[in-house]
Amino acid sequence: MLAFGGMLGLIGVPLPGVEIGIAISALVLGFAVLTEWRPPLWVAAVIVGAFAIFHGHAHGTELPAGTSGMLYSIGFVVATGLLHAIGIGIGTIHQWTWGRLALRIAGSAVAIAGATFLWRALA
Amino acid sequence: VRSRSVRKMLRVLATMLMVPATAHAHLASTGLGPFYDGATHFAISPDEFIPALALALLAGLRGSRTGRLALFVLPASWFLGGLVGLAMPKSGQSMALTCVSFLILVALVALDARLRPSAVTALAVVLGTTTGYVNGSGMSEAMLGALGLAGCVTVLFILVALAAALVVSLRVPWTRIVVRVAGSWIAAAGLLLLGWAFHAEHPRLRSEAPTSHSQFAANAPPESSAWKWALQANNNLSSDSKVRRSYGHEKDKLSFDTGADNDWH
Repeated sequence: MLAFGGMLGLIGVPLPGVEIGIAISALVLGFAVLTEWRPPLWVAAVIVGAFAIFHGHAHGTELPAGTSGMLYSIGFVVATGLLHAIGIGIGTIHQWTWGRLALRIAGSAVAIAGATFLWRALA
Repeated sequence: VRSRSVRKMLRVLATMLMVPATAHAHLASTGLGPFYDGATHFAISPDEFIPALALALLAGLRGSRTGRLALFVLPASWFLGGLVGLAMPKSGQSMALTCVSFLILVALVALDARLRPSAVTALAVVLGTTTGYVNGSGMSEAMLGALGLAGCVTVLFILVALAAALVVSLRVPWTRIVVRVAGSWIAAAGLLLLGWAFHAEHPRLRSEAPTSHSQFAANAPPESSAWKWALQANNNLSSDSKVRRSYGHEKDKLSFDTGADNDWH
C-alpha cells in the first residue's frame, strides 16, 4: 500500500490531508503500542494499509528531480522492508517485563510526536 | 543453524554481500570483446534482470521440474528473441513492458501461485522473447552482434540456475515465505516504476516548478530507452562534449558531460 500511495503521488493524483493523515497514523499507532492493543488481523491490515497510502503519497510527490525511477523505487521498497524488519526485531523485547515497559514508553513517544505533527498540520 | 537449505541460503547471501561491486554499477566497455560486454549487461540493466529473477523464483517455488524447464526455456527464448532483435531492431523499450512483467511475475511469486509447469514455461517463453527482442535491438545498435547476445544469455542461464536451485532447495516453511516477501517487494518496486513512467511522460503533473535539471530529466525517456535518446541528443552537443558510442553507457556519458549527474543511474 505504501508503494501504491507512492505511485499515486508520482502520477499526480491529489490526496487531501496527507500531512494530517501521517500525523494521525503516528498518533494512532503510537497509542496502539502504548495500550498493547491487539485488534483482529484484518482490522490491523486495514489501518496500516490506509495510513501507508498517506506515507507513500508523500514520498511519491517528493521525488527529487532527475532521480532514477528504478533505483529510487528499489531503495524505497528495500528501506521500507528493512525498517519493518528492524521494528519487528525491536518488538521481540516484548517477552521481558522491562521490554514491555520500554515498548510502551516508545509507543507513548510516537503518539506524542504524532500529536505534535497533527497540531502543526492543523495550525 | 540446523537446516542444510538454510545454511545454503545464508552462504549464498553472504557471498553476494561480499561481492566487491560498486553501488552505482556503471560498467564501461570491458575491453575484452562483445561477449564480455554482453555478459555485463545485467549489471547495468536491472529492469531486464529483475523480471528474469522473478521468473526464476517462481519456477523454483514450483519445484525442480519446473525449475529445470525454466532454466533452459527462458535463456533459449531470450536468445531467439534477441536474434530477431538483431535482425530487425527497433529502438527504445516500452516502460509498460517492464512494469507489466514486474507486476505479473512478482505477484505470482508473492502469492506462491500454484501454476502448472506448462504455464510457467509459457511465461518464460513470453518474457524471454519480448525482453530478448528489446535486448537484441539494443545490441544491434551497439554493434555487439550475436556474440554479445550470447554473453548476455550465458549470464542469464547462470543466474536462473542459481536462483531457481536455491529456492528449490528450501525446505523450511519460513524460508519460502522469505522468497514470497522478496516477490512482494519487487511488486512494490514495479508499482513505483509504473508511477515513475507516467511521471516522466507527464512533467506538468509535477508539483514543483521545472528547473533546467528537472526539465532535462522530464524530457528524457525512462531507463532503457534513454540510451537511444542520448544518441539523438549527442548530435546536438558541441563536438568537445560528444558522447562516446559504447553500448549501454551513452546515458552515463551524457549525464556526465551535461552535468545532469543523477539521471538514469
